[in-house]
Amino acid sequence: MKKQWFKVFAGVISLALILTACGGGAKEEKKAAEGSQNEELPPVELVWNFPLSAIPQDLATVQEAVNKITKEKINATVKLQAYTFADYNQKMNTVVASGENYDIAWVANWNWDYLQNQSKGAFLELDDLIQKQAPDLMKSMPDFVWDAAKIQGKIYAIPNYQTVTKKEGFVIQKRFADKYKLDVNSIKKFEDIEPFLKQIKEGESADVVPFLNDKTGRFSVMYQSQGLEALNNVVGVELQNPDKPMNLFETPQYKHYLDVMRDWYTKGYINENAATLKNKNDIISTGNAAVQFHSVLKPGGEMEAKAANGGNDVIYVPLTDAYASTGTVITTMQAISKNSKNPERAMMFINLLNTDKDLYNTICYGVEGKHYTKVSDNVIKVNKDAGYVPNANWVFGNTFNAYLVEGMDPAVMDQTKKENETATKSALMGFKFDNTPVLAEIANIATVIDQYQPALDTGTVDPNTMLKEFQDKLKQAGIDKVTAEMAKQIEAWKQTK
Amino acid sequence: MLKNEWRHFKRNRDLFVMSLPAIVYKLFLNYLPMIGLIIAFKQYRYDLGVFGSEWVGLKNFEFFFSSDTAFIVTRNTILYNLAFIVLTMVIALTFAILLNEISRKWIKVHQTVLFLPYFLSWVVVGYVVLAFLDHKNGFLNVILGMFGEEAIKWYEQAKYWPVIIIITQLWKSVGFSTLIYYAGLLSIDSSYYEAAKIDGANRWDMIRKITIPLLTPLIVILFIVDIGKIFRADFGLFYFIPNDSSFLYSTTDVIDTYVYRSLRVVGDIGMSTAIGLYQSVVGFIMVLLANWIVKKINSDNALW
Amino acid sequence: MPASQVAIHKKAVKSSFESKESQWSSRIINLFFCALSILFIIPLLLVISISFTDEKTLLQSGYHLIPEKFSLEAYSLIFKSPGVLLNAYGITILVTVIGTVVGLFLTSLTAYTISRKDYRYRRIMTLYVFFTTLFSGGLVPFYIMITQYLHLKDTIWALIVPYLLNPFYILVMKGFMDKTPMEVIESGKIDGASEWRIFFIIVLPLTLPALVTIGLFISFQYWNDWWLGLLFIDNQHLIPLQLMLYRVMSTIEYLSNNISSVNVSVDMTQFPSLSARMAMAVLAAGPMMIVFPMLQRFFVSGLTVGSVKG
Repeated sequence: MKKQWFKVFAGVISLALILTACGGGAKEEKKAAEGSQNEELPPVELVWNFPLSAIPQDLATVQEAVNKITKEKINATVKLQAYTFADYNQKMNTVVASGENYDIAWVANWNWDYLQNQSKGAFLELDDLIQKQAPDLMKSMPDFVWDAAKIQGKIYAIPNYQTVTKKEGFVIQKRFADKYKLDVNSIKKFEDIEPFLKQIKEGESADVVPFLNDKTGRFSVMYQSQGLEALNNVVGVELQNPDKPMNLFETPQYKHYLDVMRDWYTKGYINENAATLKNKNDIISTGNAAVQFHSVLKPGGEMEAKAANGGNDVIYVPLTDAYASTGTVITTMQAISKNSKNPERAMMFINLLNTDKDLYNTICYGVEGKHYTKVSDNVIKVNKDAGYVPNANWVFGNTFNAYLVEGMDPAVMDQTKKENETATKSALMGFKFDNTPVLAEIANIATVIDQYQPALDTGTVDPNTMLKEFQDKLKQAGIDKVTAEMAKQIEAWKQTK
Repeated sequence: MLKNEWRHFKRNRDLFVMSLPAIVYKLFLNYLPMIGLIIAFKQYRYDLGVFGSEWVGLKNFEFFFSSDTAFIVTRNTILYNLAFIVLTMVIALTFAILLNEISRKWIKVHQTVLFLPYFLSWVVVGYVVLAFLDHKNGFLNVILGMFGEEAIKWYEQAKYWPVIIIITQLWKSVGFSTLIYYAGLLSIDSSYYEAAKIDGANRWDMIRKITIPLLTPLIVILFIVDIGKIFRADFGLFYFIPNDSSFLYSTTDVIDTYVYRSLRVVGDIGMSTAIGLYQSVVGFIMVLLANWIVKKINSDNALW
Repeated sequence: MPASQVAIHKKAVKSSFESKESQWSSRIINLFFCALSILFIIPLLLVISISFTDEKTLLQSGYHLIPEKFSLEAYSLIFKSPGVLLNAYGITILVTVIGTVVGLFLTSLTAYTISRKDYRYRRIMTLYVFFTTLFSGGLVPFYIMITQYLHLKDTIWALIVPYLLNPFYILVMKGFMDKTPMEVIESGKIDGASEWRIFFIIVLPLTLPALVTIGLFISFQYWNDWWLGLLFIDNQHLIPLQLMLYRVMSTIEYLSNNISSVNVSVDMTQFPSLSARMAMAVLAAGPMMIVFPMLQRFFVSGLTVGSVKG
């Protein structure tokens, strides 16, 4: 009896020792020696993390098809690691913070932040790798796109080239515009829409929302038409005077916006639940949102908007021309991990994603005959039930290499390209704010905004009583320090330019 | 001395072997990872790692303690937790004792029903609450309308929310605690009651003199565990049930939701670790205090 | 005195009397619980009702206890590809069964040692266990431990191991075991039974209601969990049920909050409707709602020590 227990004891102890030993083994991480290009490439496996709306059921088949191409071209296999948009930030934060190995990761400014992760040392600098492994890549996108991706003069991520501009304006239900004979040419400023809102309010049922607003407000999507550009969520510059950062919530434009919203809200033009509304798609999908304000009126967008509006036709009424800034470019990119053991091969793979049509369309649409069928040389029909409908070409690479999906206007691609090239470029293209010196301030400001913005920006409360309080709280939270830091960094950035 | 201890150890050897799995398990899954707490005092950089990152002292705590909201959210957290602790205990104990009085057939039904809400996630419960409180179509406003009262914008009126939050929490969790107490009741030796019956005790006497005292160790355990969490709040409850409405922060914002919102933009794990550590330390002090008091009253009931 | 002499008999009588007075109060209490049950069940009926309601009606006129326009659309959509759903059920059931069995064993074993008043390291062990409810190293060190030292990533064990020894359950279990009379254990010792024998043969049967209770709690924890799957599972064949539900919910929430001002196009129409989400909630919780009442007979026939003879 006794002996047995000693055995158990010894067993547990040795198990513990083994576990510790394993841990020691996992630590070793050596960077692969940089081999000469011309030699035969040894086979490697790359891990690529990216987010989608939902994880495709048949990802395995697509991975196989992708690997067939990559095996042949760069002697590498790629593990496609898909997450949902909601999980991606949490998941990748954990992965990089724990030093887990991966090679390529999708990154952006609205999900898993490019700048923050770079400042914490997550990514590899890519300039040399691009020069060596992907010389053609530079030419596939305009220079300003590359500028936008730079952090202190260096590239840390390759943009997926797509619509890189924004254009602000109204999205209006066509049936109402027709019914009330809306003269779209008369609308130059956002407040010009008011007579139309009045007509809808008076002429339509209570279910119809004349002007849809939600808890994020609309001010943040009308900076450009207000002559502003935002550099983060609180500080921005006037387009006329891009050297002087200022508190966006102290501008006369903001006050004006609030006054108009308050007026509309009291007149009943804005949905009553706006200040607490999180998911405005619940209203949009019923087709009852008569007028919305958007910042991304892109070529061909009416088609997408029609689907989102429950199949009701909509018209775009732009208030601005196409405009490109850092923020509009770095919305989708691929970066290479600092821990990657095969950065060269990772770069080659990114290069293929952006230049190899075959590979790119496989990852976008899956396997021909199974996930899609070809209608003509460049047009396909997606098989929605085959388990691979990522429906997000912009996650993977250069979207201009994609096949057209049946029903899409073939002219859209050229229009987009043209708009990208002709768009007004921000004077601060490429500038990025490193918030490390003011983390505490940014954190506190975020909660102040959470508290005041929904009520103010939807007109639910009177700006005359609340705006001052909001501004004071922002000051208390340290917004002036952030503005000063911004000014300092802009100065420094100009020196490196 | 060492020899003496070894003799003691040998006598306790079998029991020690029995607790060994837990010792090893907790060492690996809880204690070793606690080394990571040093991140709270560092400017964590991924490429430098936990040990290589630069020490920054208490800088990571600054954002929380420099804001004037810290007081409000801390107050909310403590008050809600106190309310939960007291109400859950009283109600669950009452339910358990009452359940013990009725026929077995029905207990099954009641207990199942009381427990059902536990299976729904807070997100789903959030939709349920919305169904009751929605301004336009919510049940409560429909009922108010039937009585000719004016509809209330529930999600914009902070004053109602302490009650709403407490009811929701009780609704979801009281079945859980009732089950614990009920199981505790079942393991009370029935001979105690039989003896009391012979002595002519009435039911109330028995509850007071037998049931409650015998359940006290269990009550104390649940109480001390809850005290340890008094600076922590159930994120799901306080985030999804008020639907993150900005009008309600004054009464619904707690430490966990506040920290979540402040760090959503900066996403710094040093700062989140710092607040977690703060919550732990305060909780630990509270627990030591609670255990000390319990020990003063009756050392048998103390946890250690 | 042999251990078998420790009489264990069914707990036949509770504290209730057979008198008329008690019957009446029993009825009143029963009525009270019936009323309470209705209050508890209405919100659940609502969830079920939403899952059977036509989506358009839902958006137009809100939620109702009885579907305004009945529709099976949500369920037929989910069952269009039942393979994934069934696989997730399988994973969740497997994890719940293994986790509950192993977890319950370890939990009661640990609880037993710290409930023994004659165990020299009882207090320090209690503190050792309890301390882990207060302090944790945070997500990242935990993640490093599981993935890089224990190498559990993308295995079913990653879904099981972290919840095996919940300190709260250990302490509650200890609370139940505290009531085991020391005499019973002493008598076992005198008979020459080993500590293990005493634990298995004497203590465990005595604490059956507690074992069932804690077993239920452990199983619910496993059943309801999506967090471990989110962290540690990339292999789509190992995705547990609740993670499927969570992903849908969180993605909708995330995109509606974040995407509106970004120039990327996400087709929001492809997401499951509200009724489909509720249908998933029903499907996720359903099985446990059936299992729970079935396990309850163990409460009713709870065993207890009558007396110690000798």
